[in-house]
Order: sequence, then C-alpha cells, then structure tokens
Amino acid sequence: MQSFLTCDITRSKVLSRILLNKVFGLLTLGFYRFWGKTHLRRLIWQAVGINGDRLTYHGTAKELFVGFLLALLVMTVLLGVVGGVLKFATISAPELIGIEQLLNIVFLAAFWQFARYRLWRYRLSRTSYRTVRFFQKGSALAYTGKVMLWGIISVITLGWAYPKMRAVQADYQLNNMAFGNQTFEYRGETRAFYSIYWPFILFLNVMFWGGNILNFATDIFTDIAAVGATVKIDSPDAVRYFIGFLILMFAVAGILYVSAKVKEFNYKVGQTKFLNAHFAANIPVLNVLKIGSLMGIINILFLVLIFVLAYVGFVGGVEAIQVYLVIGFIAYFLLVDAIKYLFLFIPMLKLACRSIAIDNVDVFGEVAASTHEAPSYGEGIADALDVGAF
Amino acid sequence: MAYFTGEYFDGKSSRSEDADVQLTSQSLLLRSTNNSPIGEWELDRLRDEYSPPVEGAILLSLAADNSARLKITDPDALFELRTRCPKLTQKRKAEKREWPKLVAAAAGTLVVVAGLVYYGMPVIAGAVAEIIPETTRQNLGQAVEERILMQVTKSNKSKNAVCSSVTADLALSRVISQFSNGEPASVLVVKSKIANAFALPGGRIIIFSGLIDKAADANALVGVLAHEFAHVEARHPTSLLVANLGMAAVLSIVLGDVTGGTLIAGAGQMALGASYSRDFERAADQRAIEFMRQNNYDVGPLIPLLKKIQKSVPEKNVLSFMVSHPDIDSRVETLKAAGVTGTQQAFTEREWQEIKVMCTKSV
Repeated sequence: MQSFLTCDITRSKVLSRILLNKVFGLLTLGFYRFWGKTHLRRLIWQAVGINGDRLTYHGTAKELFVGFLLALLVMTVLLGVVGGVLKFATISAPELIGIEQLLNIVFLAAFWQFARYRLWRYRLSRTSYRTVRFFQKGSALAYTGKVMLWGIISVITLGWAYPKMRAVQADYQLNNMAFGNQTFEYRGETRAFYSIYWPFILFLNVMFWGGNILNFATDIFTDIAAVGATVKIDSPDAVRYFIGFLILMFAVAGILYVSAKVKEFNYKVGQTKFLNAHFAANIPVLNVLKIGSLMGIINILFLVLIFVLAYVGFVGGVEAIQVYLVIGFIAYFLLVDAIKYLFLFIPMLKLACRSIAIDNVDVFGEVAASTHEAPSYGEGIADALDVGAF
Repeated sequence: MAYFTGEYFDGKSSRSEDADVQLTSQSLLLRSTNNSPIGEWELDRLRDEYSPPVEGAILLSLAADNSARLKITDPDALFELRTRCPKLTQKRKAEKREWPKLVAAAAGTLVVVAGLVYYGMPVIAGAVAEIIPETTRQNLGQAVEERILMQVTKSNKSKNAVCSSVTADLALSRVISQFSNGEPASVLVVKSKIANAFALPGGRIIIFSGLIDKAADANALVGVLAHEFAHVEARHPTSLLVANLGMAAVLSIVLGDVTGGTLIAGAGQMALGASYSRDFERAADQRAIEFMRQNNYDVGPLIPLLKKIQKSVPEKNVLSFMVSHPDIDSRVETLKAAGVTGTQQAFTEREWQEIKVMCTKSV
C-alpha cells in the first residue's frame, strides 16, 4: 500500500476566490454564483493529484446556468404551489401540524437525496484524470427510493436501521461509480456498518428511553416546562446544571457521530476495488475531531462577536442596533464560507489525501475512455439551489 | 527552433506516451519516440487546461472538441511556451454562438416564472382560499388576531386593548350583518392612536380606535366597514397570505438562498404582494359602494376621512410602490364618481356616541 493522492491547495487563492465570488454575487443579485462556483471548483479539482497527475474540472458556468433555468421551472411549480399550500396548511390548521410537517419533511428529504445523486453525477462526469472522465451511473430515482425506504424504517426503529441505510447507500453509489469504461467495485457488508454505528445509536436510545422513563416516573420535564412557562425559578443552579448536562450530551453525541462517520469512510474505501487495485483509508478520528473543534470554536467566536456588536448597538439605541446588525450580517455573509473552507474543507481534504492508499497505482494509467453519455447540462436542481454544493 | 519532450495523451485512454516536441515559429511538431508523427499543433490555438495556471506544468490542448493533451514540465519549454503562445491562458471562443440562445432561454424562463408568480399566483391563491375550509380560515384569523392584539397591548402598555360596550358592539354587528347576509363576520375595536382597519381570514375585521376618532360622520365608519367586509367576502386576506408564502418561496430560489438573496427576496415579495393587494383594494372600494347603495347609506362621508388619514401619513416617496393601498386621490375619485348612494344614517345618534367613547370608557 502506498499513498497516491496529493493536495497542494493554496489557501490564499481559495480565500480571494471566495471573497470575489461573494462581492460579485452581491453586485449581480446572486447571478454570478454559477461563474464563481465554476472558478472555485477548477481551483480545488486541479489541486488534487493522483500519482502526480492533476484532476481537471470541465464543468462550465453555462451548464450550471441552464441547469438552474430548468430547476427554476420545476421548482416554481413544486415549491411555489405545493410548498406554499403545505406551509399555509401547516400554519392554518394547528391540529394537522404533525401530519403536514411530516409530509413536508419526507418530500424535502426525498428531493434532497435525488438532487444529491444528480449532483454527484454531474460533478463526476465533469472530472477527468489523464484525459479520461469519471461517471456516476445508476438512477437517481432508484437511489432515492432505496434511501427513503430505509430512512423511514430508521426513524420508526429509533435509528436501529440506520446502518442498513448507510450500507445500501454505499452499495448503490460506489458500485455505480466509474472511471472511463471501468466501474469501481464495492463489497461492503451491513454487519460492518452495525459495528461502526452501534455506540452512537445506543447512546441516542439510552437518552431517549432514559428521558422518557424519568419523565414517566417523576414528571420532571412536564414540571420543568410548567416552571419555565409560569413562575420564576427559585434555584438558577438547577437550570445551569441542566443546560450543562444537555450541552455535554450533545457533545458526546457529536463525538460519537463524527467518529462513526470517519470509521465508515475508512471502511468504505477499504472495501472498494478498481480493476485489480485495492484501496485503504486510515483517517484518524482524533484529527477529524481536532479540525471539527477548531472550526466550532472559530464559529462560536464569530457569533460572540456578532452578539457583542448587537449588544453595543443595543446600548446605543435602536438605530445603532440596526447599523451594527447590518455590519454583522455583511461580515457574516462575507466570511462564513471562507471560514468553512479554510478551517474545515481544506484541512479535511488534505487529511483525506494523506490517509488514502492504494496497492497498485498504475491501474489508473491503463483505462480507456467511456462512451457513456454524460449529462449535457448542470444537473442543477442541487447545484442551483446550493444543496450541499461547493 | 527548440526541442524538448512532453507526455502525450491521445484522449482515448488514460495511457500516455513520451513525445518529442519541436517548437517552430508557428507551431509544435509532435512525434512519438519511434519517430512516427503525431501531429502539428498551431501555437495560437493552444490553451493551457490548467486554469488558473499551475507552477511547473502546462497541459496543452488544441481544440475544444479534441481531448488529446500534451503535458510539458521542462522549465525551459514552459518559459518558451508561455512567452510564445499568445492565447495560452485565454478562454476558447465557442465554435457556435450560443449566447443568444442562452439569453433567450433565460429570458423565456424568467418570463414564464414571472408570469406564474404575477398572474398565476393570485389565481392559485384565490382558488386555495376558496378551497380552504371555513374552520381553517377561522383558526388562521384567530391566530393573526391574537398576534395583533398582543402587539397593541404591548405598545399601549395596558392589560387589555379591546374596547367594548354593549350598545356599540350590537350596533357594529347589526351593520355588518346587513352587508353579510348571514356569512359569519365579526368586528373588534382596538385602542390605538393609529387610524387603520383590516380584514383577517375567517371574517374578522379589526378597527383601530384612531380611525373612529378621525371619523366626523357615522357613515364614514360604515363606509370603512363596508370596505373591509368586501375584503372578507372575496376572501382577500387568505388569498394574500397564500400568495405571499408562494412568492417568498419562488423568489428565494431565483436569487439563491446563500447569496443574501433572502433579504432581496423579502423586499421583492413585499413589492409584489403590495401590488396584488392594490388590486384587492380597488375591488373592495367598488364593492363597498354597492353595499352602501343597497342599504341606502351615503358613502360620501368616507371622503373627508380618507383625506384626513392622508394628511397624517407621510407624502409619497420612492418606496410608494410598496404602499398597498392605491393612492388616496384615486380612491377619492372612485368614491366621488359613485355620487350620493343613500340618505339614511346607519347608526342612531346614541349608538354613534357610544362607539365614539367605547375606548375611553372600557380601557
């Protein structure tokens, strides 16, 4: 096994590109985003090298724009009418709130899965290595169907079917991924996903059942809610302990979740084959947690800064609040993506490049281009709406 | 004349071969290492596929539809190519002129979407408002009413903002029932210095006491009631709410949510929403005149009331397109055109006095 990926991304270039995109985006009421996104992707793609040869991004702003126009037509009908009516119904008939919100969530979740699959399809088909393109075959609809089925079962079983869902997702996505005329092969097992995810799911279940039993036995949450709503609390310490406990539990859940995700990534890479080459990934959980905490701390500092600004404005009166909030909003708007890229995305990309290995790198140098048809426009529903896009 | 080597990809597979490259004044001559010719690449057609350029390598291409590439890493060759290929870092011009088509497609899409939003949405919203069951509209109206009352109570710094008096309440309900022909409707008078009135979903009408203070004649208030009931009858409040929600969703897609578009979408929605409601206001004025005529009440006293309100609101400004009522002058014209619509007073003298003081008494 040898590592074969390199990543020589320049932070200053990424930063100036993001800021440029933001400023032009503002000046053009957001329409620059297709061009900006394309520039940024080129920068990131060609920073990644396999065995010394860089990836190339072939997508164009024009494709994204056409994709956006198509998406707009679809979404005008879907969101403008269906979404509008659903939203309206939700606020107007409180007794139906549960059902309508559930329908809305299911609809949005299915839509999100579909859009993500099309996004991978577009991006991979616009990525080449040594002149040969990647592809994502398969049907976005079939993928969505599988994910939704297991997703709903996961919710019903309080998360115990979640590993199965992840296994199904990985199986469909990776076995449909191709480079040139060769398809990647993935042979993962559901069992492995269970061994990765059980601590996280168990933790959530303990919290859920523990909370319920506690409430059943003592009515503590009902009391807390009642106390919060009507009377002043006599002992602020109890509230502090309770909030502290909640934060601690969230932190534990977060750590368990992140480490499961990292292990899942390592496992999936390890079970993937291309021709006769095997892969391995060994991303250390601790490094990911470090990156994540740094990112979290920076974001918290940023939010604190905005609150301080708002507070200073508050002291200075109503007009001052408005001015400071506008300043805070613009700063947040300009910097939030930059922070995400510089402190989360780039470090993660570098870590992944360092941690993925292959036992025979030459396989990538012997692949014929495919005749598989690539989508002719940006599969933009996802892209246009910025669904998890970069 | 310069010679160097490069890595040649034919574009059909990821395999590459070493190529001997000869740089002439006009072109690159490519030969494989066994000396068989690969091709001649003209310098002014060459582009570097690395964009933005990277240090230490160039990936040359000849044409947009040709996926063959030549990778050069020899430092001297890089220098030569960067100085002698004029268009190396330029974008290739599209073979066909695609922009007109693209602009047409964009314009077409935007027209369709705008058409849907501007003309389709009121129709859809109207239809939805008709379908929505009475109980749902009642709930909705109640929710909005509670919020308004809460705000008024807060700004009054009093416990109760609702003004009430048996005689006044009965008189107001009687007049409304004359218009409504049995359709459920209620009137609530709220203590506030603001001169305003609105109709909410589910047949609720709220009158701010500022309006009653400004009304010199009882029939001016009756005109307002007729106008608001016209909204109720046509289910304007519900339509407006549905349309606003739909428009907000569409506009936030057009502008892209993460680009700060939400703010602009908000402003756009306000402008569009205001324009819908301007149409509604015109329709309500017309219908109010009919109500007044049917009951033999004169709509004339509404004119001085409108003029008084106009004095108390700021002059027209840049944002006047966002103001939802048609400008007062054109409303006054409409009312004047209606002429004298009746001879009777809707309230007795005692009732009108009760209405005038109901807020000072009860709050």
